[in-house]
Amino acid sequence: MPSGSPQPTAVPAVSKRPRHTKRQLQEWRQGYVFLLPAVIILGIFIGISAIFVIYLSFCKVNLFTNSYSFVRLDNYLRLFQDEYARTALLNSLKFSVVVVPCQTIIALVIASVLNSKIRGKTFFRAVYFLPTLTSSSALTIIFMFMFSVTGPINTILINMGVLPEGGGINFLNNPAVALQVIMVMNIWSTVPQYTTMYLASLQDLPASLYEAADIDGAGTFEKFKSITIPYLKPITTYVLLTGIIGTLQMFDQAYIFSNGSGGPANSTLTVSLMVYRYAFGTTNAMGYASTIAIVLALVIMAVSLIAEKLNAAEKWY
Amino acid sequence: MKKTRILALVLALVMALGLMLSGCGSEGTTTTNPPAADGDNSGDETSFAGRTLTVGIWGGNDQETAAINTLKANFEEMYGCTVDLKVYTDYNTQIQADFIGQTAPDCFYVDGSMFPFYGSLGVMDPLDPAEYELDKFYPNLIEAFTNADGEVLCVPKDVSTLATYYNIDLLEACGYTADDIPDNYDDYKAFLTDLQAKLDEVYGKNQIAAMTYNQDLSRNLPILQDGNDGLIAEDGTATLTSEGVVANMEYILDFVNNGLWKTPADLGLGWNGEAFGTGKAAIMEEGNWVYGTLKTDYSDINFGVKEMPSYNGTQYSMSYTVGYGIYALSENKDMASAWIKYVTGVDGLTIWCGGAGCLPPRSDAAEAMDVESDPVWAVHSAMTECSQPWQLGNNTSIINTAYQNYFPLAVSGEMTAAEFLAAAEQQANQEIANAG
Repeated sequence: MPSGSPQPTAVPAVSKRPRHTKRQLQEWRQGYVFLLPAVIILGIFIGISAIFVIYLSFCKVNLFTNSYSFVRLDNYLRLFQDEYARTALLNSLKFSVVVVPCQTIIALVIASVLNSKIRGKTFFRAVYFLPTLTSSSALTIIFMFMFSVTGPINTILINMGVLPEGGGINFLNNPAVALQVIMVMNIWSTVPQYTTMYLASLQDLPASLYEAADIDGAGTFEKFKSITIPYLKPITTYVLLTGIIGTLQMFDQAYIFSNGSGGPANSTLTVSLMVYRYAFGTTNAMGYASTIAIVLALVIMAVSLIAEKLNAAEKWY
Repeated sequence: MKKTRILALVLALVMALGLMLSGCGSEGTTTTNPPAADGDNSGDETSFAGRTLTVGIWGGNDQETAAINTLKANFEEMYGCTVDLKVYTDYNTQIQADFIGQTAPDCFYVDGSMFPFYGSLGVMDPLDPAEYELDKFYPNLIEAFTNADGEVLCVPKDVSTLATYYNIDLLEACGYTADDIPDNYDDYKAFLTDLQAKLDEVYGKNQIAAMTYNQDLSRNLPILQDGNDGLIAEDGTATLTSEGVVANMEYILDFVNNGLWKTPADLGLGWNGEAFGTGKAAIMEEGNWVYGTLKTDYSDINFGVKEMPSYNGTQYSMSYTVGYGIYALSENKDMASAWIKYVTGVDGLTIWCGGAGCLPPRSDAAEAMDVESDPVWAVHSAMTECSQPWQLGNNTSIINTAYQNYFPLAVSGEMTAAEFLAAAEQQANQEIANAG
């Protein structure tokens, strides 16, 4: 503390008119000292790690013997010939294309409904937020129970007469629907989070805009389309970006759902799951896993850029 | 002002010095201890005093936890040391990270199916067969823990085998007794067809399955490898497409397509034990771990156990074994060795196998435990001889994952047996190539 307190000796120094006062310099030093712990931790665990992954992606790695042999672009060339990587990328993109618009639109609609003057909206806000609080692994297991052959979903469909008696769909083991089940699960669990973001922004929306629209004779849908949506555009950009990143990196739900295999018939094999399998299975192929991870990062960057351009929001953040 | 600052500085220095000195002091005393203990190590049982042995394990049920804690307490008492059980939740991921970080426990579990992989990494010390009485163990289990150079790297700590479980009440309701269950798969076809028809008649259609099965190489391996060169080549790649394997696969699919075998998932349940325990399946092939579950969780099920049926004239079962290995970089190899000798000795095995509900890997321990006195244990024990340890070279999990991946397509009819195996083989071999 004594070293941080202002010093009387610093005052005469001002008369020499240096470019920066001693006090200013000291404050800067102090600032950097305060920053240092965070910079060191982030530098080691994010900065250096990220650079190391780029290096690994050009190597054939055996972590057990600590041997790294530089193989130039071999991993990348192999990746472009790997049909399973293509399947994984297609699955991830398919997942993203369905989940991101759904979760954004549903969140937007729910938020504007919750923002209106309906009864018990605090109660609904609390209830709607529950799925986000549930851990995604617990959620996956509950959904797997719900979608099992004798589970509630099949029972309801059979009782409604949609499916014949004893003809329940094996959602978990059918390649045609397995990924869709995870999509539903993901939308259900991520919507509340985005709803909360939209709600927070809607609280700031001046009521006068709606009142003016009322005087001009705009209907509810008109107001939603011409006031709510444009007002929320910056938030929408944020929701889209985090949505795209989150869905393209989806791992835990596919891992639990398929018991780590990405099956049935690679229908739930996502890029992240593939990275995990190469990095931590008995394959011992950290180099190839790094290559897939780097390409995934590039794909996410590209898709995010496109989405941002399409949404063309004013940058308020 | 200056004086107070200097005083504060001096005080801080003194405190820092004091801390450093006390830190050094305590370290100094601990480092002098082990050599002293090592010195009088020869023959003295209490020579591990003050030292800690770390044992890497995965978590189990309450009975297993109780059994390993008894072993730990006994060992600590015998040698006056501390045993630290490091329980992993995702074993094969976490222990690999520990191997890479060179922080693995002094000794650790190695699953038989993972042994070829871990055995090839050089993370375990070879063990002297005489020192660990390896000749007393079942030879097929020792073979499962022998690497390519003929060195044994792990001592088996238990073994489980598959046997046939049947629900007596369900059979009797359909007019059968246990003796009607055939002793070979060929006769199973006609038997299960009749049994399924009668089950449908008595309990309603699709209510109870005649028999469950698993889409898993660790269960299907005996049938698939019969009469051919096996499922892997010398270099560890998958060879699933040979004529013999395809024919055997068609044999399995024949049961499935005729509705005689159903997976637990087909019944909306998690595993065979649950399907059988809830009375949804009349017959299943399961390991002895299910015995405890049936006794405690599904005690109303009236069941019997018999040997596995034969296929093409040969009787097969599968065995699943786990061994202890000693970490090559361990600083407590003497303790790890003593631990392994204790827990794989007759006394230790009696505590572990009796508590955890598995078979001892050596016949003298089986005699000491009197496994023959229990009819269920007797059957499982008899299956040890004809069983194949679950192992498929270095790439067991890759090949099995690819196999499980495409199996549903063969069942749904989108692929023939040959197409299914070709797709699985291609995926497995591509992954192996990418890794190599």
